[in-house]
Amino acid sequence: MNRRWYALVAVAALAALAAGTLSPASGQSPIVVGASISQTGRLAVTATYVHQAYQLWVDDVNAKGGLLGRPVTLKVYDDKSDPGTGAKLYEKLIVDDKVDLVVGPYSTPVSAAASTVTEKYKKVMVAPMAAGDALWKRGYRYLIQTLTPSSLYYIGVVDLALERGLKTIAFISEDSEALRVATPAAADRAQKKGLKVVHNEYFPRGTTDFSAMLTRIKALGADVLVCGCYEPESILSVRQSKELDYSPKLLFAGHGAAVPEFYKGLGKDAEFVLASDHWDSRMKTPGNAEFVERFKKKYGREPNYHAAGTYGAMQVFEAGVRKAGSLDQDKIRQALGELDLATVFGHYKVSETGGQIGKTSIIVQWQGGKKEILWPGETATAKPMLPAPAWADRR
Amino acid sequence: MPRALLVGLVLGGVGAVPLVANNYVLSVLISLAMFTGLAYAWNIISGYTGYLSFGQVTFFGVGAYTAAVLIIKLHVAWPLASLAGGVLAALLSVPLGWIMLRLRGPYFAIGMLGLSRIAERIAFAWEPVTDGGRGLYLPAVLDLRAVYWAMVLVVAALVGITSFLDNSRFGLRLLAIREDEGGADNLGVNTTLAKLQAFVLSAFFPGVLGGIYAWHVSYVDPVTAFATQVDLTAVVAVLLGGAGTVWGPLIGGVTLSLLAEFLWARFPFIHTALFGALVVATVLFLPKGLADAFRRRGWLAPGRAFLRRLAARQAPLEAAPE
Amino acid sequence: MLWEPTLWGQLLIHGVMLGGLYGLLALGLNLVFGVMRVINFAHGELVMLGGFFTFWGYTTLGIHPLVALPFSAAVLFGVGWVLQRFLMERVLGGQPMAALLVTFGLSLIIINVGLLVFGADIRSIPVVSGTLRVAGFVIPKARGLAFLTAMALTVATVAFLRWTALGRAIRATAQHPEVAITCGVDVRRTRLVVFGLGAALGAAAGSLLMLILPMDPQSGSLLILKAFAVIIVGGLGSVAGGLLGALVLGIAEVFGSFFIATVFGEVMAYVLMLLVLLVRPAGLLGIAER
Repeated sequence: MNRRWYALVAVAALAALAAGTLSPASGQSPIVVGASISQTGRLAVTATYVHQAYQLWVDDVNAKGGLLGRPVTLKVYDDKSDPGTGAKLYEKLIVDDKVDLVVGPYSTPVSAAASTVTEKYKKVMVAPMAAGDALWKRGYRYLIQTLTPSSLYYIGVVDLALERGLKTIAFISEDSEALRVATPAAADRAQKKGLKVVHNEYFPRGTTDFSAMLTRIKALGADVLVCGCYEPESILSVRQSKELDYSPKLLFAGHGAAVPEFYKGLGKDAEFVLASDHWDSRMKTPGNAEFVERFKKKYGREPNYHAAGTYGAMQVFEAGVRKAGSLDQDKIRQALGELDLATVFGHYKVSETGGQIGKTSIIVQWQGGKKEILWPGETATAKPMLPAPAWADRR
Repeated sequence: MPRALLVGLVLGGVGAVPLVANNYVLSVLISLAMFTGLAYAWNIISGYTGYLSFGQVTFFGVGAYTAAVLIIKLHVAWPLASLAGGVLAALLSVPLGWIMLRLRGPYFAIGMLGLSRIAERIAFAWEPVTDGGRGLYLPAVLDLRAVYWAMVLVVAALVGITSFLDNSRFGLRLLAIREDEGGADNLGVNTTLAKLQAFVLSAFFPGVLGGIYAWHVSYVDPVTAFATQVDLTAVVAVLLGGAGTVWGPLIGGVTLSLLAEFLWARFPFIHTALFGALVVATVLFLPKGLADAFRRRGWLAPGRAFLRRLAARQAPLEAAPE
Repeated sequence: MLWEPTLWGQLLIHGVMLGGLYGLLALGLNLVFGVMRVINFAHGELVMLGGFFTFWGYTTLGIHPLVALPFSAAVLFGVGWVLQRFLMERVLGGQPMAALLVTFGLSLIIINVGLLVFGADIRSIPVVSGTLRVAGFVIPKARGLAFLTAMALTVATVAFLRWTALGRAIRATAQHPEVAITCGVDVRRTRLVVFGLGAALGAAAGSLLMLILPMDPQSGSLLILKAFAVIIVGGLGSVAGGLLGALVLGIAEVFGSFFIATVFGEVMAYVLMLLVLLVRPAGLLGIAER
């Protein structure tokens, strides 16, 4: 008798716990935007900027009187940079929290899993930070890309190298979805235009030593080094190039080299390094300068492309909802398909599949502690300082 | 209440959940079932046999990739693909177990960890099959109920097997190995065979679970397929519930999953730290797990009931020969 | 090109440099395991904390990292002491995996706190960069410094264990706690000191790593697995073996990366680890266990 009573209590306790966890939030009159951020895991670097950008957008929209006459609130969870968690997260947002709008997670893998869920419920998902072309080849209808497709990431570097008459190029890239498209696209272009590709290798994420790769590339005497990488590897590749006394005439360190932390971590060694960026604070996109100011005032530092990309995507979403005039997902999808506008992030226009066709990447170079835009020519703010001086010649 | 009827009712109840639960709840329960299954598998090699492994995720990943490749390239139906994943994992575990089970204690644990790291790198390197770091994209899953039932089926099978194990000679052999392998050897127990059998069992099921997981998430890549965190979470679940018992992994798996989900949902920014605190608390205050605590309170019967009853039977006296 | 001796020599140098880095990482881990048979899963986080302390000193107070290093070590010594006193002492003598799991839980807590306090941004300290050009070879300065420090600290630790009273007490505690007690050794205090030392050595490693690798609060968990491989190859519990194992792994990784592919370079560490476990579990210099 005693035993059964205790068993019942235990079961009741577990049930209460389950109910507390799994019970849906109560209904509300504000419009709720559901999003995930990668607070932990390999993408944690991005989380704060992304979260801040969401919050800034929410504040800006509410300051303007809200969306469709209603205030907007935000609901975020941590996707742990993990696709499985991402999928569950969007189930929770849609089914449990019953949010009105969903915005995508950071990175292609997590977006891949999450979009499967949003597609199932026919909820439009604007994916601010998903670049993998493969995502838009699956025949999904409700996924919208605002980021530059990864195939366009690095091609500017090839053009710049050609302009300077450089002859040989080496690629080392992190083995991940976006770069598996970006690097071959750039290598392809290089070969077609007469640059000789002397090395093309992928390394797994978390590699802490590039000395073997760089020793080989140095021995081959490559003029151009393209490191397809993000923050940690960007710093490492430059640092180890210096350590190996390998001075490529053009050193390009991917997207990781475009963030302020890159320069802070390397100091003067970051000079002359080229980076690919999705956005720059000096770009003359509408409202950009004010966006940068507001962000700086609110959060104490300048936004980077994670923040700008997120904010821009929300601007797109906002425009889509206003154009649709309602929260009906099909109407919003249609509106988003028709829109052709410029946000702080850049140009937005999608093809039928929802893939981005308006946005391009920019190539920047660190000159005198600041990033100058080199490519595309129309947006350039300075001339390229190439070839970069050899390490031994720098003070 | 007769055993069979009780089991039937429970299974029926569990199976009926999808009829009332929404997809989010199902996602949580699927994850819960998966970790409980992994906990059970770990329980066999580590709880019963005493070979604490930190690399069972190797077989999980093998199962995930096998199923993914079969589904994508050969259009195999996912239940079959998952089973194939389990079979391949089991086949691999024979030579691997033969090698690794020579090691003892922390050496075995870290050795298995190293094995899982090697497996991850192989997944990165073997591009033609695994597509390297890009990962494999599977067709979308629209019906979570089938996934849920599959996971529950695996867990039910594992509970049954563990229960059988607990009451069998084989289980006794494993326990003997855990308590004193040298002594067991001396008594004529074929320890090598028993260990290997346990190892294969505890590799097959993670393989199947990996296959179902790949189908569920529709995406597999080296990092998530071979994540050390998966192993460690399963280990904590068993520890919380009680290693070497029939109900331990279930209690631990359910409690841990629900608690982790609760923390993740309510405390998005500190859930990792709270989970860590939970792990620490479990080890400090419940070293033998909840099952043991329940047993001491009399809520759970002690294990190996069949064998105990057997041992308690009076031996019939035979009449002395004339 | 592949068969030039200069190339091999250069690769060897890189391997040794990498080995120095790994050796630093493994030092504290080895000491703690050798004495208390505890695998400290949170060691990577202690390294990270030491590194961030030095980083903070550099960015906020303008202190050169090499000057900040001893302070960082001192602070982490205290942290280690406290952890042993209030946490690790309670799992001593319990289940074999208890310590490992407790430290695993601890590592999660430290990572989350680190993320909240420092943010997830990558940090690095841009001093001691560049390279020395010697006889046609290049020797990276920061990594070279790490290697020298690893050697110095290893020698210092071995000397400390062999020739000081406290060192002897530590060895006695490691070999036979019960007998050590009867000899008048305060075994409990010894354990506190050892865990503190392990953390302090980790802090030294972290401070130097800040000059070499970009770090964030989650870096520790990436590095810890390598450290495990190192101490197994070198021999669990052998401090000198740790450095030797680190060098072997560093060289194997660089050569493997060069002659096969980078993705395999990292695998070399774990393959070697398995080989050692199977052929000679005691490792290169470890105490052969029954």
